Amino acid sequence: MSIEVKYFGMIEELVGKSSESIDNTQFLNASSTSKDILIQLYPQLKGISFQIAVDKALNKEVTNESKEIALLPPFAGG
Amino acid sequence: MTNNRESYFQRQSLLPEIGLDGLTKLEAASVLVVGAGGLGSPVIEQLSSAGIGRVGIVDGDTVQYSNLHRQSLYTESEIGELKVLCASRRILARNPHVRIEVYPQMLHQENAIKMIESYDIVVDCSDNYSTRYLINDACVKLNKPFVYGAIYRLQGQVALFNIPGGATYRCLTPEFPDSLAGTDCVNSGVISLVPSIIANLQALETVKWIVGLPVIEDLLLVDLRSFDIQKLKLPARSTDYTFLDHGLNHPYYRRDCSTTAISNQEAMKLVKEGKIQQMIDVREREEVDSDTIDNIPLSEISSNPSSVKLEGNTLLFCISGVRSKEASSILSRNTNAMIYSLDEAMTNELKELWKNRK
Repeated sequence: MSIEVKYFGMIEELVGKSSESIDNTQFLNASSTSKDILIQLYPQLKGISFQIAVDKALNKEVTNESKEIALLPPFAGG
Repeated sequence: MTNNRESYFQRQSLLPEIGLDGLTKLEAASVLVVGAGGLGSPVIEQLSSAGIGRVGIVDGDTVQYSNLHRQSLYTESEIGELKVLCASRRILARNPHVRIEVYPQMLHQENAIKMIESYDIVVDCSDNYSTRYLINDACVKLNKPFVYGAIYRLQGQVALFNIPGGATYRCLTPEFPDSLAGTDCVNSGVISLVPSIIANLQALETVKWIVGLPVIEDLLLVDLRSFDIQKLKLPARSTDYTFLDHGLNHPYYRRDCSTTAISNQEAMKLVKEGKIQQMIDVREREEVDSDTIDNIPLSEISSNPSSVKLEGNTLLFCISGVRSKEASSILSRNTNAMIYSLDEAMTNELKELWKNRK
Protein backbone atom coordinates (compact mmCIF):
# COMPACT_ATOMS: atom_id res chain seq x y z
CA MET A 1 0.00 0.00 0.00
CA SER A 2 1.17 3.49 -0.65
CA ILE A 3 0.68 6.61 1.38
CA GLU A 4 0.62 10.19 0.13
CA VAL A 5 3.19 12.42 1.82
CA LYS A 6 2.81 16.21 1.65
CA TYR A 7 5.61 18.62 2.50
CA PHE A 8 4.70 22.11 3.70
CA GLY A 9 6.62 25.30 4.43
CA MET A 10 10.38 25.14 4.08
CA ILE A 11 10.32 21.35 4.35
CA GLU A 12 9.25 21.32 0.73
CA GLU A 13 12.55 22.98 -0.16
CA LEU A 14 14.56 20.70 2.08
CA VAL A 15 13.21 17.52 0.49
CA GLY A 16 12.90 19.04 -2.98
CA LYS A 17 9.24 18.20 -3.64
CA SER A 18 5.79 19.19 -2.45
CA SER A 19 4.34 15.69 -2.29
CA GLU A 20 5.00 12.09 -3.21
CA SER A 21 3.52 8.66 -2.84
CA ILE A 22 5.58 6.19 -0.82
CA ASP A 23 5.24 2.60 0.36
CA ASN A 24 3.62 2.51 3.78
CA THR A 25 5.24 -0.75 4.93
CA GLN A 26 8.33 1.06 6.19
CA PHE A 27 6.11 2.90 8.65
CA LEU A 28 4.32 -0.24 9.77
CA ASN A 29 7.23 -2.62 10.24
CA ALA A 30 9.39 -0.37 12.34
CA SER A 31 9.56 0.26 16.04
CA SER A 32 10.45 3.91 15.41
CA THR A 33 7.90 6.71 15.31
CA SER A 34 6.55 7.88 11.96
CA LYS A 35 8.50 11.09 12.41
CA ASP A 36 11.76 9.17 12.89
CA ILE A 37 11.08 7.14 9.75
CA LEU A 38 10.65 10.35 7.79
CA ILE A 39 13.96 11.64 9.18
CA GLN A 40 15.63 8.38 8.10
CA LEU A 41 14.21 8.91 4.60
CA TYR A 42 15.30 12.54 4.55
CA PRO A 43 18.31 13.03 6.88
CA GLN A 44 18.25 16.75 6.07
CA LEU A 45 15.17 16.96 8.36
CA LYS A 46 17.22 16.00 11.39
CA GLY A 47 17.21 18.86 13.86
CA ILE A 48 14.44 20.67 11.98
CA SER A 49 11.34 21.46 13.98
CA PHE A 50 8.22 19.94 12.39
CA GLN A 51 5.00 18.17 13.29
CA ILE A 52 3.24 15.46 11.35
CA ALA A 53 -0.45 15.17 10.62
CA VAL A 54 -1.80 11.76 9.66
CA ASP A 55 -5.10 11.88 7.79
CA LYS A 56 -5.54 15.49 8.85
CA ALA A 57 -4.95 14.93 12.56
CA LEU A 58 -1.79 16.30 14.15
CA ASN A 59 0.62 14.18 16.17
CA LYS A 60 -0.73 10.79 15.13
CA GLU A 61 1.16 7.71 14.02
CA VAL A 62 0.76 6.02 10.64
CA THR A 63 -1.40 2.89 10.66
CA ASN A 64 -2.34 0.41 7.95
CA GLU A 65 -5.41 2.50 7.09
CA SER A 66 -3.60 5.84 6.85
CA LYS A 67 -3.88 7.55 3.49
CA GLU A 68 -1.94 10.77 3.94
CA ILE A 69 0.86 12.33 5.99
CA ALA A 70 1.55 16.05 6.11
CA LEU A 71 4.88 17.41 7.35
CA LEU A 72 4.38 20.77 8.90
CA PRO A 73 7.15 23.05 10.14
CA PRO A 74 6.15 26.02 12.29
CA PHE A 75 5.46 29.20 10.30
CA ALA A 76 6.75 32.46 11.71
CA GLY A 77 6.05 35.08 9.06
CA GLY A 78 3.63 37.93 9.49
CA MET B 1 -29.33 61.25 8.05
CA THR B 2 -28.18 60.27 11.48
CA ASN B 3 -24.55 59.75 12.39
CA ASN B 4 -24.99 57.32 15.19
CA ARG B 5 -23.41 53.91 15.59
CA GLU B 6 -26.51 52.02 14.56
CA SER B 7 -26.78 53.76 11.23
CA TYR B 8 -23.04 53.34 10.62
CA PHE B 9 -23.41 49.57 11.01
CA GLN B 10 -26.93 49.35 9.54
CA ARG B 11 -25.94 47.00 6.70
CA GLN B 12 -23.95 44.76 8.99
CA SER B 13 -26.71 44.34 11.55
CA LEU B 14 -29.05 43.24 8.74
CA LEU B 15 -26.90 40.12 8.54
CA PRO B 16 -28.85 37.47 10.47
CA GLU B 17 -25.64 36.05 11.99
CA ILE B 18 -24.87 39.46 13.52
CA GLY B 19 -28.09 41.39 14.09
CA LEU B 20 -28.48 44.15 16.65
CA ASP B 21 -27.55 41.69 19.37
CA GLY B 22 -24.23 40.91 17.66
CA LEU B 23 -23.59 44.61 17.20
CA THR B 24 -24.02 45.13 20.94
CA LYS B 25 -21.63 42.27 21.72
CA LEU B 26 -19.04 43.69 19.32
CA GLU B 27 -19.32 47.11 20.89
CA ALA B 28 -18.75 45.64 24.35
CA ALA B 29 -15.73 43.64 23.19
CA SER B 30 -12.04 44.49 23.40
CA VAL B 31 -9.28 43.00 21.25
CA LEU B 32 -5.51 43.39 21.52
CA VAL B 33 -3.66 43.16 18.22
CA VAL B 34 0.02 42.32 18.63
CA GLY B 35 1.94 43.57 15.62
CA ALA B 36 0.84 46.22 13.15
CA GLY B 37 2.62 44.90 10.07
CA GLY B 38 1.53 42.63 7.24
CA LEU B 39 -0.99 40.67 9.28
CA GLY B 40 -1.77 43.43 11.75
CA SER B 41 -2.77 46.10 9.23
CA PRO B 42 -5.75 44.19 7.75
CA VAL B 43 -6.70 42.77 11.16
CA ILE B 44 -6.86 46.23 12.75
CA GLU B 45 -8.80 47.58 9.79
CA GLN B 46 -11.31 44.72 9.73
CA LEU B 47 -11.88 44.60 13.48
CA SER B 48 -12.52 48.32 13.59
CA SER B 49 -14.82 48.08 10.59
CA ALA B 50 -16.73 45.26 12.25
CA GLY B 51 -17.64 47.48 15.19
CA ILE B 52 -15.37 46.18 17.95
CA GLY B 53 -15.65 48.70 20.79
CA ARG B 54 -12.02 48.77 21.89
CA VAL B 55 -8.98 47.79 19.81
CA GLY B 56 -5.48 47.86 21.32
CA ILE B 57 -2.44 47.94 19.03
CA VAL B 58 1.04 46.90 20.19
CA ASP B 59 4.02 47.67 17.97
CA GLY B 60 7.25 49.55 18.62
CA ASP B 61 8.24 49.87 14.97
CA THR B 62 8.19 52.88 12.72
CA VAL B 63 6.92 52.91 9.15
CA GLN B 64 9.52 51.87 6.56
CA TYR B 65 9.34 52.36 2.81
CA SER B 66 9.49 48.59 2.26
CA ASN B 67 6.39 48.15 4.46
CA LEU B 68 4.09 50.14 2.21
CA HIS B 69 3.44 47.45 -0.42
CA ARG B 70 1.65 45.26 2.11
CA GLN B 71 0.79 47.36 5.13
CA SER B 72 -2.19 49.30 3.90
CA LEU B 73 -2.61 51.48 6.99
CA TYR B 74 0.45 53.57 6.16
CA THR B 75 1.42 56.15 3.57
CA GLU B 76 4.70 57.35 2.17
CA SER B 77 4.47 60.62 4.09
CA GLU B 78 4.45 58.68 7.35
CA ILE B 79 7.84 56.99 6.93
CA GLY B 80 9.73 57.14 10.21
CA GLU B 81 6.59 57.69 12.31
CA LEU B 82 5.41 55.18 14.89
CA LYS B 83 3.13 52.64 13.27
CA VAL B 84 0.66 52.62 16.14
CA LEU B 85 0.03 56.37 15.82
CA CYS B 86 -0.41 56.23 12.04
CA ALA B 87 -2.70 53.23 12.37
CA SER B 88 -4.83 54.94 14.98
CA ARG B 89 -5.15 58.10 12.85
CA ARG B 90 -6.13 56.15 9.78
CA ILE B 91 -8.69 53.98 11.54
CA LEU B 92 -10.37 56.86 13.38
CA ALA B 93 -10.73 58.80 10.13
CA ARG B 94 -12.85 55.99 8.72
CA ASN B 95 -14.51 54.74 11.84
CA PRO B 96 -15.46 57.16 14.59
CA HIS B 97 -17.16 54.42 16.61
CA VAL B 98 -14.10 52.54 17.81
CA ARG B 99 -11.75 53.32 20.66
CA ILE B 100 -8.15 52.72 19.63
CA GLU B 101 -5.54 52.24 22.35
CA VAL B 102 -1.90 52.32 21.30
CA TYR B 103 1.21 50.80 22.85
CA PRO B 104 4.31 52.08 21.02
CA GLN B 105 6.52 49.22 22.20
CA MET B 106 7.19 45.59 21.46
CA LEU B 107 5.42 42.96 23.52
CA HIS B 108 7.96 41.64 25.99
CA GLN B 109 7.98 39.59 29.13
CA GLU B 110 7.68 42.60 31.43
CA ASN B 111 4.66 44.20 29.76
CA ALA B 112 2.79 41.20 28.29
CA ILE B 113 0.59 40.33 31.27
CA LYS B 114 -0.35 43.90 32.01
CA MET B 115 -1.28 44.64 28.39
CA ILE B 116 -3.18 41.45 27.69
CA GLU B 117 -5.18 41.27 30.90
CA SER B 118 -7.48 44.16 30.07
CA TYR B 119 -8.63 42.66 26.74
CA ASP B 120 -11.08 39.87 25.95
CA ILE B 121 -9.06 38.27 23.16
CA VAL B 122 -5.66 38.69 21.49
CA VAL B 123 -4.83 38.51 17.80
CA ASP B 124 -1.29 37.31 17.11
CA CYS B 125 0.01 39.31 14.15
CA SER B 126 3.67 38.95 15.07
CA ASP B 127 6.45 37.78 12.79
CA ASN B 128 8.66 35.72 15.09
CA TYR B 129 8.53 32.72 17.39
CA SER B 130 9.54 34.62 20.52
CA THR B 131 6.46 36.80 20.43
CA ARG B 132 4.19 33.87 19.53
CA TYR B 133 5.38 31.85 22.53
CA LEU B 134 5.11 34.88 24.76
CA ILE B 135 1.53 35.57 23.61
CA ASN B 136 0.65 31.93 24.12
CA ASP B 137 2.16 31.65 27.56
CA ALA B 138 0.70 34.94 28.79
CA CYS B 139 -2.73 33.99 27.41
CA VAL B 140 -2.59 30.56 29.08
CA LYS B 141 -1.65 32.25 32.34
CA LEU B 142 -4.49 34.76 32.00
CA ASN B 143 -6.98 32.33 30.48
CA LYS B 144 -7.51 34.43 27.34
CA PRO B 145 -8.08 33.05 23.87
CA PHE B 146 -5.88 34.17 21.00
CA VAL B 147 -6.18 34.00 17.25
CA TYR B 148 -2.99 32.75 15.69
CA GLY B 149 -1.98 33.52 12.12
CA ALA B 150 1.33 32.98 10.36
CA ILE B 151 2.58 32.84 6.81
CA TYR B 152 5.34 31.22 4.85
CA ARG B 153 5.59 32.49 1.27
CA LEU B 154 2.28 31.46 -0.39
CA GLN B 155 1.14 29.35 2.54
CA GLY B 156 -0.53 30.31 5.78
CA GLN B 157 -1.94 28.99 9.01
CA VAL B 158 -4.80 30.15 11.22
CA ALA B 159 -6.02 28.77 14.54
CA LEU B 160 -7.90 29.86 17.61
CA PHE B 161 -5.86 28.83 20.62
CA ASN B 162 -6.60 28.61 24.32
CA ILE B 163 -10.39 28.67 24.13
CA PRO B 164 -11.84 26.74 27.08
CA GLY B 165 -10.57 23.16 26.83
CA GLY B 166 -8.94 23.86 23.47
CA ALA B 167 -5.36 23.38 22.33
CA THR B 168 -2.66 25.99 22.84
CA TYR B 169 0.16 27.03 20.53
CA ARG B 170 2.41 24.72 22.54
CA CYS B 171 0.17 21.78 21.65
CA LEU B 172 1.01 22.54 18.01
CA THR B 173 4.69 23.37 18.55
CA PRO B 174 5.65 22.12 22.02
CA GLU B 175 9.28 23.20 21.98
CA PHE B 176 10.72 26.49 20.85
CA PRO B 177 12.27 25.64 17.47
CA ASP B 178 15.97 25.21 17.99
CA SER B 179 16.84 25.08 14.38
CA LEU B 180 15.06 27.92 12.72
CA ALA B 181 15.95 26.97 9.18
CA GLY B 182 14.48 29.73 7.15
CA THR B 183 11.27 30.26 9.05
CA ASP B 184 12.14 32.92 11.59
CA CYS B 185 13.65 36.33 11.22
CA VAL B 186 14.66 35.67 7.67
CA ASN B 187 12.95 37.52 4.92
CA SER B 188 11.69 34.66 2.82
CA GLY B 189 9.69 37.01 0.60
CA VAL B 190 6.10 38.13 0.81
CA ILE B 191 3.38 39.35 -1.53
CA SER B 192 0.73 41.49 0.14
CA LEU B 193 -2.08 39.14 -0.87
CA VAL B 194 -0.96 36.34 1.42
CA PRO B 195 -0.84 38.16 4.77
CA SER B 196 -4.06 39.95 3.74
CA ILE B 197 -5.90 36.68 3.19
CA ILE B 198 -4.63 35.11 6.41
CA ALA B 199 -5.27 38.30 8.40
CA ASN B 200 -8.85 38.52 7.16
CA LEU B 201 -9.44 34.95 8.30
CA GLN B 202 -7.99 35.85 11.72
CA ALA B 203 -10.29 38.88 11.99
CA LEU B 204 -13.25 36.76 10.88
CA GLU B 205 -12.65 34.19 13.60
CA THR B 206 -12.24 36.96 16.17
CA VAL B 207 -15.60 38.47 15.23
CA LYS B 208 -17.29 35.05 15.20
CA TRP B 209 -15.92 34.27 18.64
CA ILE B 210 -17.18 37.58 20.01
CA VAL B 211 -20.72 37.27 18.64
CA GLY B 212 -20.90 33.62 19.66
CA LEU B 213 -20.82 31.91 16.26
CA PRO B 214 -19.01 28.56 15.94
CA VAL B 215 -15.27 29.10 15.47
CA ILE B 216 -12.55 26.98 13.92
CA GLU B 217 -11.33 24.25 16.26
CA ASP B 218 -8.61 22.96 13.95
CA LEU B 219 -5.43 24.34 12.47
CA LEU B 220 -6.34 25.82 9.12
CA LEU B 221 -3.53 25.22 6.64
CA VAL B 222 -3.83 27.13 3.41
CA ASP B 223 -1.66 26.60 0.34
CA LEU B 224 -2.57 29.45 -1.98
CA ARG B 225 -0.61 28.01 -4.90
CA SER B 226 -2.88 25.02 -5.29
CA PHE B 227 -5.82 25.97 -3.06
CA ASP B 228 -5.04 22.93 -1.01
CA ILE B 229 -6.91 24.08 2.10
CA GLN B 230 -6.93 21.68 5.01
CA LYS B 231 -8.30 21.63 8.52
CA LEU B 232 -5.87 19.66 10.66
CA LYS B 233 -7.24 18.38 13.93
CA LEU B 234 -5.16 19.83 16.76
CA PRO B 235 -3.82 17.53 19.47
CA ALA B 236 -5.78 17.41 22.71
CA ARG B 237 -4.91 20.19 25.10
CA SER B 238 -1.75 19.33 26.97
CA THR B 239 -1.99 19.47 30.74
CA ASP B 240 1.73 20.12 31.07
CA TYR B 241 2.00 23.70 32.29
CA THR B 242 5.62 23.53 33.42
CA PHE B 243 6.44 26.23 30.87
CA LEU B 244 4.67 28.64 33.22
CA ASP B 245 7.08 27.80 36.04
CA HIS B 246 9.66 30.24 34.78
CA GLY B 247 7.16 33.07 35.23
CA LEU B 248 7.49 34.45 31.70
CA ASN B 249 11.20 34.81 32.25
CA HIS B 250 12.95 32.84 29.58
CA PRO B 251 15.69 34.01 27.22
CA TYR B 252 13.82 32.89 24.14
CA TYR B 253 11.11 35.48 24.68
CA ARG B 254 13.81 38.05 24.14
CA ARG B 255 14.98 36.84 20.77
CA ASP B 256 14.08 39.47 18.26
CA CYS B 257 15.08 39.44 14.68
CA SER B 258 18.39 41.13 15.27
CA THR B 259 19.80 39.65 18.43
CA THR B 260 19.22 37.74 21.63
CA ALA B 261 21.02 39.23 24.60
CA ILE B 262 21.70 36.80 27.42
CA SER B 263 23.46 36.85 30.78
CA ASN B 264 26.43 34.74 31.94
CA GLN B 265 24.03 32.54 33.87
CA GLU B 266 21.80 31.94 30.85
CA ALA B 267 24.86 31.31 28.69
CA MET B 268 26.19 28.72 31.15
CA LYS B 269 22.89 26.90 31.04
CA LEU B 270 22.98 26.81 27.24
CA VAL B 271 26.59 25.60 27.20
CA LYS B 272 25.75 22.84 29.68
CA GLU B 273 22.82 21.78 27.52
CA GLY B 274 25.09 21.66 24.49
CA LYS B 275 23.09 24.39 22.76
CA ILE B 276 26.06 26.58 21.91
CA GLN B 277 28.48 25.30 19.31
CA GLN B 278 30.74 28.31 19.04
CA MET B 279 31.90 31.34 21.00
CA ILE B 280 33.46 34.38 19.43
CA ASP B 281 35.23 37.25 21.11
CA VAL B 282 34.43 40.29 18.95
CA ARG B 283 36.93 42.64 20.58
CA GLU B 284 39.79 44.00 18.46
CA ARG B 285 42.95 41.90 18.32
CA GLU B 286 45.04 44.21 20.50
CA GLU B 287 42.48 44.05 23.33
CA VAL B 288 42.47 40.31 23.56
CA ASP B 289 44.48 38.01 25.86
CA SER B 290 46.46 35.29 24.18
CA ASP B 291 44.40 32.55 25.82
CA THR B 292 41.04 33.79 24.67
CA ILE B 293 38.39 31.92 22.79
CA ASP B 294 38.11 32.41 18.98
CA ASN B 295 38.61 36.05 18.13
CA ILE B 296 36.90 37.74 15.19
CA PRO B 297 36.88 41.53 15.74
CA LEU B 298 33.69 43.47 15.10
CA SER B 299 35.54 45.55 12.51
CA GLU B 300 36.15 42.42 10.41
CA ILE B 301 32.61 41.15 10.91
CA SER B 302 31.09 44.42 9.74
CA SER B 303 33.40 44.84 6.75
CA ASN B 304 33.00 41.27 5.53
CA PRO B 305 30.18 39.42 7.28
CA SER B 306 30.08 36.53 4.82
CA SER B 307 33.69 35.61 5.64
CA VAL B 308 32.61 34.51 9.12
CA LYS B 309 31.96 30.80 9.13
CA LEU B 310 29.55 29.87 11.90
CA GLU B 311 29.52 26.33 13.28
CA GLY B 312 26.00 26.50 14.70
CA ASN B 313 24.44 28.41 17.56
CA THR B 314 26.96 31.03 18.54
CA LEU B 315 27.60 33.22 21.56
CA LEU B 316 29.30 36.54 20.86
CA PHE B 317 30.91 38.56 23.60
CA CYS B 318 32.99 41.70 24.15
CA ILE B 319 33.34 43.74 27.36
CA SER B 320 29.85 45.08 27.98
CA GLY B 321 27.60 43.58 25.31
CA VAL B 322 27.51 46.63 23.06
CA ARG B 323 29.83 45.41 20.30
CA SER B 324 28.63 41.82 20.56
CA LYS B 325 25.06 43.03 20.09
CA GLU B 326 26.05 44.91 16.95
CA ALA B 327 27.96 41.89 15.67
CA SER B 328 25.03 39.58 16.38
CA SER B 329 22.62 41.74 14.44
CA ILE B 330 25.00 41.61 11.45
CA LEU B 331 25.61 37.86 11.64
CA SER B 332 22.01 36.86 12.30
CA ARG B 333 21.01 38.16 8.87
CA ASN B 334 22.89 35.40 7.12
CA THR B 335 22.26 32.39 9.29
CA ASN B 336 19.48 30.29 10.66
CA ALA B 337 21.46 29.46 13.77
CA MET B 338 20.73 31.26 17.03
CA ILE B 339 23.13 34.13 17.58
CA TYR B 340 23.39 35.17 21.20
CA SER B 341 25.08 38.24 22.55
CA LEU B 342 26.46 38.21 26.08
CA ASP B 343 25.09 41.41 27.58
CA GLU B 344 27.77 41.77 30.26
CA ALA B 345 31.47 40.98 30.78
CA MET B 346 32.24 37.28 30.57
CA THR B 347 32.81 35.65 33.95
CA ASN B 348 35.78 33.31 34.47
CA GLU B 349 33.25 30.67 35.40
CA LEU B 350 31.67 30.76 31.94
CA LYS B 351 35.09 30.90 30.28
CA GLU B 352 36.29 27.84 32.17
CA LEU B 353 33.05 25.99 31.51
CA TRP B 354 33.46 26.61 27.78
CA LYS B 355 37.13 25.62 27.70
CA ASN B 356 36.48 22.42 29.61
CA ARG B 357 33.37 21.36 27.72
CA LYS B 358 33.31 17.90 26.25
